[in-house]
Amino acid sequence: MKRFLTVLGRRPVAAVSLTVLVVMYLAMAFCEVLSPYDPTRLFPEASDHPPNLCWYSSHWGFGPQVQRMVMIDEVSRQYVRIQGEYDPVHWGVTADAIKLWGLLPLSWHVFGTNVRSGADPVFLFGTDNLGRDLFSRILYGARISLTIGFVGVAVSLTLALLLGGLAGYYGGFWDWLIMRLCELLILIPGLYLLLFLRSILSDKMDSASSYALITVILSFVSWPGMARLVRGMVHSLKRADFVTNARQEKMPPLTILFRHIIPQMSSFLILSVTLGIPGFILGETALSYLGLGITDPAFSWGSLISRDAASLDNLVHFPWLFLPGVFLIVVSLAYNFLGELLRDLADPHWRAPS
Amino acid sequence: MSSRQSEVFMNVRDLRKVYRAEAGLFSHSKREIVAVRSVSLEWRQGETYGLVGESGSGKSTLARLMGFLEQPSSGTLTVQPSERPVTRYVFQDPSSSMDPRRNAAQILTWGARYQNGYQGPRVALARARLLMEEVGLNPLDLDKRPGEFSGGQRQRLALARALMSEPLTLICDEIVSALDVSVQGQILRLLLDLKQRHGLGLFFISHDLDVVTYLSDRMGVMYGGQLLEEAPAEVWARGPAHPYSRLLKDPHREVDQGENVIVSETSESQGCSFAGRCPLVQKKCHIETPPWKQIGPEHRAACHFLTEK
Repeated sequence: MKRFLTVLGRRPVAAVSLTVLVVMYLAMAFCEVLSPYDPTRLFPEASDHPPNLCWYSSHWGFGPQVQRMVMIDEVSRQYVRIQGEYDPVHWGVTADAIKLWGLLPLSWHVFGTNVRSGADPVFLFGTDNLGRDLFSRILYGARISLTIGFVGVAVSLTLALLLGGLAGYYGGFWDWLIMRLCELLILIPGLYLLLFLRSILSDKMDSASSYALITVILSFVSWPGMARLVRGMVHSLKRADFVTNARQEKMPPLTILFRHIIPQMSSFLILSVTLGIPGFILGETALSYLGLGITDPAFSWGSLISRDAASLDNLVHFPWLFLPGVFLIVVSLAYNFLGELLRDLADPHWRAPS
Repeated sequence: MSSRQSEVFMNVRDLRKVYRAEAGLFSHSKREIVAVRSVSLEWRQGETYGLVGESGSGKSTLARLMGFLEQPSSGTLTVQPSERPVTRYVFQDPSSSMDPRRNAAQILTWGARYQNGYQGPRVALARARLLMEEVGLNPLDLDKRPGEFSGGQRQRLALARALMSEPLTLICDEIVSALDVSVQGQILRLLLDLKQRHGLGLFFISHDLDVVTYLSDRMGVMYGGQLLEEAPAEVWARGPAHPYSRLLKDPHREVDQGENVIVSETSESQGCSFAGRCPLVQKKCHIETPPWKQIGPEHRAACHFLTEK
């Protein structure tokens, strides 16, 4: 841990990545209070509204405030700023009723404008074509996008450890069977397998079960590669003296596997988790983008991209709609930089530059 | 002590271990390596049996077979039935025989759970503490990992671990060869001490003749997977009979020998394994397996050119 922190101090990119990830996950956890509005709340007067936060005006001086805008063209949804009209953004406002983590009823939000007394609502990242606040939607969408990686990696890693571990430890017929199954699954291009699995399963589902289904499908596609690695490592570790010694003490094979063999691979496991998560996030995005993943009314970053940023026209006129994609890129990069650091730490031949 | 005829503890009959060499997918050759050719010996109750031989002589394989770590290809091992574990194999390198991620307490107590008469973690931990003291370690170090102990301390820990299951005997495979000479002495003294206190039988393997003759009651000499000579340790130290034993005792004699052929690891099971290097070699050494000849009381050797007394 100490070594991790010192190396982190010398790797600013990894340090920034870690910070970014921590901030994102915290924001995701507290998205109800952090978002100024309910993500499904419509502002009919403000469809495709551009971001309107600014930091200075002659009236309010320096500070977060909202620039009032008005739509001048109903067809192309063009907005212009109204000169000299600003509304202040307040910290800690009472607005839409929410339930924190689905339990705690609250109507407190971290920031917002005084909408009730006629102020313009704050749109940090603008709105979509129905006038829903994109910032709130990104925060809520993170609940799916950022957790699907963990759940997916957990499921596929469990499968990989169990099947790869058994194949490596017992060898022989089971080894043969499990490895041939892995090769068969690796052989099929991942995306087609995803599409195939998704299409044979029901497409009329509520958001919770489609979330679960997507996780399972993604895990199903990604376990064989990991299982092969695990199998190789177990295969070499099972001949280690300390394993023979444990066997001499009559420790049962599964206990040996999980107590003595798999812990030796912990650095590999940490690595495959950090590098596997962005893969899952992107997998969910790809599925949602193709309309096979999370569908309305639920939404994730992927479905936000597919819904709002799918046409070039949209991107030209309403560039803020691509922000979910920016978040996606940032998170994937952050995981990769962090994974790179962990890989270096796990490598016994690597030394921290001094 | 050596001449006392005590009960046989483990009877080894015609033990043989063959490893199949790793062959390629399309290769038809089935190369086999005979690690132990055909070994018979008697390990008596409470006895320290020493086994010497150079690297590759098959002594470690024999020990692993006797420790039930591996299955023999043929031959039998018979032991008297017992409540306590018959034997524990102690590895040469303690740092690889203990999980580097576990602390001493876990290393000592985890195995106890699978032994007969397990009385729960607390009893096991108490026994671990006791054994730590007995092998000369501080019980406060139970939370240290193997890597935090010195080499000698690690081997002490390995002995404590072996004794956790209260075995009747220990098989010590080169347990001091990785240690400094000064530490070797300490560990050997500890081993003798433990033997005395727990009434252990020992099967002691080493390539260090002095250590084996000092420690053992009886000893055997192995070469090329065959047992070539067996004698009480002090008898052997005074006068080994087999040509290989003599060579082992005085290695400078080999210089005279023009051809120095290392014995091949093939599947041939006829003849004397030492024939390739023997100064007395004749044609029949390659064809006939030499019979055992009784040289003296408790002293036998397998060579065509020795005469029985």
